Amino acid sequence: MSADLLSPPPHLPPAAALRLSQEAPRVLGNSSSKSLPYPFSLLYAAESPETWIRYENLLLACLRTGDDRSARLCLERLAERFGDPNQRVKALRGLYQEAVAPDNNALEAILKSYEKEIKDDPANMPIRKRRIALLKSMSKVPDAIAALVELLDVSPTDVEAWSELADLYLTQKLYPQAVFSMEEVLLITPNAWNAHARMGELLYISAISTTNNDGGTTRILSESIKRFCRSIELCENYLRGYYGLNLVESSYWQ
Amino acid sequence: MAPPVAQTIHRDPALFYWILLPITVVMIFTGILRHYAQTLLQSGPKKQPVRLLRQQRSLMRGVNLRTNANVLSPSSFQTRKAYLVSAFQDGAFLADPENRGKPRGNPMSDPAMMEGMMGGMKANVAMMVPQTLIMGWINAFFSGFVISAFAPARLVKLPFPLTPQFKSMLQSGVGTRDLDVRWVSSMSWYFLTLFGLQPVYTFILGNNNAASQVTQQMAQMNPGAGMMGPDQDPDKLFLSEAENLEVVEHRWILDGVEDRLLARSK
Repeated sequence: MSADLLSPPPHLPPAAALRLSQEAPRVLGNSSSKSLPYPFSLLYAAESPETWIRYENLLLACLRTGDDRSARLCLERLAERFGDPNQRVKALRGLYQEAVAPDNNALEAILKSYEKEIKDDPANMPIRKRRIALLKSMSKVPDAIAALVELLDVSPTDVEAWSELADLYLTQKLYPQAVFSMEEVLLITPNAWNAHARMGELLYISAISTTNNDGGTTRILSESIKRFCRSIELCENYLRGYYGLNLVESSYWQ
Repeated sequence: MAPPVAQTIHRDPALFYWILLPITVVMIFTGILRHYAQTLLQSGPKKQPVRLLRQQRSLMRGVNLRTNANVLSPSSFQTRKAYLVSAFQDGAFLADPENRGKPRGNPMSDPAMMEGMMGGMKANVAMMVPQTLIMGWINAFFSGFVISAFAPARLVKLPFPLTPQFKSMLQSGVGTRDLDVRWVSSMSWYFLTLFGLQPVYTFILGNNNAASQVTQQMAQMNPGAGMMGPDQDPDKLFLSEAENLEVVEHRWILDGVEDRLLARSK
């Protein structure tokens, strides 16, 4: 899989992330060294949105591979360009601090600073999401769920948040809530075959793990089959859908 | 009608350097200047308070439910519909529930509204001021001659023939009827450069420049075509969305999906 800094796939395999982060010296070295003298620099627009997307992705890749020094440089460049109060820069700075935090106390301090930020500006979505992610990684799942529900009350059209909420509910074995959240995801992206398959998985898990009367389980399983069918209908070679369909069918006839 | 006489106007070749080039160069530089002035004057995207955000996105949620209802099973659709319809009717998502039902106040009194208007004004001023200045300049320096002393030497000749319809476009400020259309007055040259320099600006400043007049005017044609226009009452929007939701005919797309899949794989 080819991955470049401009548009890396959302789930980067470790090797690709390493390759990306190894480009750091090249990217960080060649910019800001050559720029024309003042009157000509006005005529020549050197920067483009792509430059900064590249920096951001490089920052993420460097953090993954432990190259904190390059990550720091990327962050400085971004902060220099967009200013510290920028929401996205704030979130990236928080991400960096979380990555280099030595112990749990430091993480708690970061969490406090996030809460202060949110109190100052409740519309700061990137920081609110960072706070949720931090809560989740500190395994305070109920807190994370509460924060997510609060976020979704303000912004109920956020696909990412809804699917995260579905996952969190699943870890807490709150299946009806998870299914509800997944339905919201589907309402926003009605043709996403992976969302349909995920819905099928949720239904399947909830059906096999609850031991109530037989009728309800059968109904849930049959909806699960339908969901997998829909995901295959939307994307013919979606293997996960086929496998899920096979799994559910075999347990349906037992 | 007499055959058209070939018009020979003796003009100084130096006029090319003293009129045509200066106008063009000045126009290009004002365009660049305007671009940077615009960039300086631009206020960044305004932060929306949380309550407004909530109001807007809740409405979006209702619209989403209406348009994509077919992914839901009938029971969960009914639950959602009942919840959203009653919430919309009660105004649960409104940014300021106290002002519900009251007529909207004067937009001038709302500071947020004023801010939005000022943004538009600033862009307008940045466009109008240089335009007026340059036009005055050209009028004062270059076109006074054409009209008073009738010195067609101020004109530039195009290298190709044109039909008389172009006369008004190319010879504004020249009072003769009989002049060949191929002569262009300096005033008209100004207008031509005003509208025709877009590719030059694109070349110099990149694609998203603010130098062009035309894009500016296009942008003014439909300001804020969003669904939450400033002059719309959000309560009315919610009520109409609730009505729309009430009458949605629900069909579950998963009904018979197994048969569709089997039929296709045959």
